[in-house]
Amino acid sequence: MSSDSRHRLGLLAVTAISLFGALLARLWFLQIVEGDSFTLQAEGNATQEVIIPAPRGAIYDRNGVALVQNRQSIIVGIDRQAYADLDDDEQADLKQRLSAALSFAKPVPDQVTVDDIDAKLNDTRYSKFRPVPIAEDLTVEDEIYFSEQQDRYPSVVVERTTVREYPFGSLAAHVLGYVGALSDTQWADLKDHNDAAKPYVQTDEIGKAGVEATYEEYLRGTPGKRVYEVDRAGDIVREVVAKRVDPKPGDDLYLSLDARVQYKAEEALQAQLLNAFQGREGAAAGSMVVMDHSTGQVRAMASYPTYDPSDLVGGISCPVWRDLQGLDREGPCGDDMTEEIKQRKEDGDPVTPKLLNRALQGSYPPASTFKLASSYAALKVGLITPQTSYADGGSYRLCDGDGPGCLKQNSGGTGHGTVNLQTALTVSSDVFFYWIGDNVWAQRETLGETAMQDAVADLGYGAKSGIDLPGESPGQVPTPDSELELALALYDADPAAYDNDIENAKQAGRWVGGFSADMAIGQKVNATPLQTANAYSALANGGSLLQPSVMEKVTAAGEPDQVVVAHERKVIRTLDFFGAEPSYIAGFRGVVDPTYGNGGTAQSAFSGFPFSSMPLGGKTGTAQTGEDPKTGYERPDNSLFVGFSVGGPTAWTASAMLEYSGFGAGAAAPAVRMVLEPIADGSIYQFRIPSGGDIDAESAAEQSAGLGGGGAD
Amino acid sequence: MAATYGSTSGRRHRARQPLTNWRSNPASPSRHIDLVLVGAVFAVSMLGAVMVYSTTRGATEPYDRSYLVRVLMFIVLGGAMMGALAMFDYRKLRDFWPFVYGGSVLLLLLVLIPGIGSRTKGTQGWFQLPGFQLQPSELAKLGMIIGFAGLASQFRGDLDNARVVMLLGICGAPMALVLLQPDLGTTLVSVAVTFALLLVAGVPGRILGGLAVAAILGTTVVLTSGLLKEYQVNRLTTYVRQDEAATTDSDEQARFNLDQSKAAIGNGGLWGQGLFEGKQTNGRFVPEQRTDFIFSAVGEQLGFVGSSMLLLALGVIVWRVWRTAQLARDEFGTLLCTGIMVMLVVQIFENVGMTMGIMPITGIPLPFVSYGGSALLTMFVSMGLVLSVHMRRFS
Repeated sequence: MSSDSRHRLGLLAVTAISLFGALLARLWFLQIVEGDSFTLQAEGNATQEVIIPAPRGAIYDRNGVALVQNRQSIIVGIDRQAYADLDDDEQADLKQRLSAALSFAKPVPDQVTVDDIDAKLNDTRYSKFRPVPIAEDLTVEDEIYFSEQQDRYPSVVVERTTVREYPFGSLAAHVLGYVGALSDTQWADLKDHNDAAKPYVQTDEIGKAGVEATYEEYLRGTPGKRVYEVDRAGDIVREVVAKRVDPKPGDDLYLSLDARVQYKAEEALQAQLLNAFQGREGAAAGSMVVMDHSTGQVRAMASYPTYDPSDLVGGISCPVWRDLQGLDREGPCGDDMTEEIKQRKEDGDPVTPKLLNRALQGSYPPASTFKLASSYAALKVGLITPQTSYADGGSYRLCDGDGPGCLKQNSGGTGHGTVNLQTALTVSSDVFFYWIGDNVWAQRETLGETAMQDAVADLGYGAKSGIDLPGESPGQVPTPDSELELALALYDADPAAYDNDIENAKQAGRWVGGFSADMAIGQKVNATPLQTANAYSALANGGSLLQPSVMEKVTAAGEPDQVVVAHERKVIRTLDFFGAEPSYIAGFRGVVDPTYGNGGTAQSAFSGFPFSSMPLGGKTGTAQTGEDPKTGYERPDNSLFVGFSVGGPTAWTASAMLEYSGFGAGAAAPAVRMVLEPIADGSIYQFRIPSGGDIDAESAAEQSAGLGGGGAD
Repeated sequence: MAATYGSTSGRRHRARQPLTNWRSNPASPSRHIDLVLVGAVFAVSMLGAVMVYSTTRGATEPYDRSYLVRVLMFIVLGGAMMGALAMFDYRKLRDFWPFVYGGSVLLLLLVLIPGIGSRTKGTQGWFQLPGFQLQPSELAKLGMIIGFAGLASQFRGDLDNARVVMLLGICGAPMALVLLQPDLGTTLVSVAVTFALLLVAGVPGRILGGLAVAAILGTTVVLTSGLLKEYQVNRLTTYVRQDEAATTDSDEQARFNLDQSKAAIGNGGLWGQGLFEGKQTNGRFVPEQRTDFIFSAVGEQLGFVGSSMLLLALGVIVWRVWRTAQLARDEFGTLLCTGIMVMLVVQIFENVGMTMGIMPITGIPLPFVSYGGSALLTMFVSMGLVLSVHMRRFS
């Protein structure tokens, strides 16, 4: 071999060595220098985490009666994305076949038509990340059938889900609330600061209303997970058992509600509404709150119209959603529906939404039930003492002139003679309170312009009570400033209504003595039935304004004795009634009990009530509602009543409010009686709630028809 | 002439000392078996068998052993062929190289005829034989080397331009046929082998320089002329655009191969995930892993330590072939070994390089490791020839 050849072979050797060197260098770089980033990539590539949702905690009443439980449901749904991948013919074909198959599936009661499927697929209320539920509660045989026939039913998914079950149907629906899929905005909020212990995934459900929402952090279980090694196609190769985390059920919630009292409250409300609306049209609505005034715990909270939360399980369809809004089931959802509701409000034909918890979201003039607050204000500013007497001649003159703005009359127009705090409350003398309102305003130089407003705030009016339920209304206590602001805002919105003159608006918004007088009889203010109950509870318990609550305790799942959180009595403020407690108690007892005075406005409604077992005080209220813009006639009054037990082993307050139902003594007082009487005579403790929680409102209405006694305010 | 001399001297040798044990003859071919090369070849091919098994067994029982069995069969068959060729005096090839060369070109022609040859993944490059697919381009690389060595050794180092053109023609014919399949990888290997053979055969530097320029121009034309399918261009060029977004589906696919392969190798780290413990490998994330991308399985499971050991073992094979090229007693043997060595180096560098993103993706198997009968047998046959050259360096 020539030396030239040797050199040339040497050249090849050098080349080969450098190529091998390059490979080793690159290998070093990939495996040692950048190895970590690739490890992560390979890890993420080859493993798939599957989140196993944990069951939510159950909800019981204070005696351990289950109000919300979990059960398994087999659901057939359509995966929207997979469905969109099908062509038109395949989609039509699929709907045909699915409709036919579901019509043979046993527990699906009605035929599921192609139109039904279309409607559900087009329903925007279903989350786009979950299969659209087409039929629920299928049998295991159906589940197997659909799972095995994937080829025949492309995009169809069968899944088992844990769903909420409501053994008593709509009982306490507004307190319980419901769960639903995370909305886009909720998800956007959650994903950023997601609680690491119970992280959410986008397809999760969350408490949307009631205690399901407020106690979400306890009720929600801790999700588990399975980690699988997957292949390139995403198929599971094997489970990484070491990384398995089992789901942990959420804590159980014991409410302060007593299911029996709750049932009685709902029954009473429906029965009295039925009686009040007998023979006339109109949407019946109302609410009742029953509390233990020694602790502030709610024993019952009813709102009508109500709904069955099980209709909302697994997603809310458009017809159900419209129904919950108080609309006909047929019609559009979304923006068109919002427009429809607005239009009806403008037409004077407002809808009566079923989801609204009127006990704390409904804000109404409290009428005469407010007289506790206005007299408290008069006592506080020193305008009256418990002994101050005043001659009620049937009318009160605010100013010179004959107009209704100057001469205010008692309900019924007749005088009650000489009254003091006690008797004025018993007979509900408006004149006495007009005088109070007018004079507190007249002395504004010394007392300040908002003396009345400031005083009633002591009893919780105008502020949220802080109850552990979402969406509470603070009510409204207007002031001279807020009145002027309102008038100017109205002027800005529609100057023509004030003849394009801002001075007219300022004039209209100027606070006058008449406003204070109206406020004193509870007409210019708004309060929730819960606020009323809470204010009277403060009087009944000797001066503690309590923060109301629907919670008894939170316990570990299935362990009633393992308490996580227990209810604590919380005093918002301690009140001084300026030595007037005896007058108050006697005055309110006289309202229902002839032993304590004549002419009590609800005495006939409570005739025969076992006062010996439950000494009772109360106050009626009858609120004017103005004229109906559709008919031009005066609308029926709102009926209000609040009652409370005096002394005794148990401490009860009950506040009812029935819209457009007439006198306080005619509808609200009988409703409260229907709840308190079985408690007073002890029959409630033998009472068993009918299975399914069904209420026979008609027979309850018939039985209680005689209670609506007295045409008194 | 040297061939005649060699063979006659062998015969005379035996005739003169009939009673002497052949083992005691220091020039006897049997005394010069390159055991280092044989050991390295079997070590690498056994590791290859295990790697192919790891990519094909599946993650759970029952494990699939069919690929392992086939690889082992090929190793046994290849080993036998290597042994047979080592016994065979390579110098006889000098007389009938035209038949070997002509046969391999004929196979390349036949495979292009639809119906005789079959098409896989866009390449018309296989004969479907019962239980076996024959890839003639693998054999043709060796055929071309033998042809070149045979012709060049007849020129005895006296190379004028006409003879250089003849040598180029010897290499060009099979390359053109392979390019028609089209099998780009094999063509590229052949170009490098041709270049090295011309170099070692003594072609002057200026001609080599000119050829290099022509090769670069030719490559540019091939890449831009539309002669290649889009996916082929993408596979070739994706490695220079690793950090950019993919532009087409086929680009995406090529990028996917590369990303998954890099992820697998990177996942190996220093010591590797352990045999059968590679996530990328078990999940079959790397396409073509048992064939072209087998190195990613080595990288993930055996880590930097194992991978560099494999490269080292391959390096030992290359070194022994190179050494044999130097030791060969005639130019034919030198050129034969040079061609084989360059074929090895280029295939190793291209194959391992593409799995790590420093070379374009082409369908070239990793010698002795990738699954594939034709390639494995070609490699064993080549090693047989090298052994034959080595054994007869004194005789």
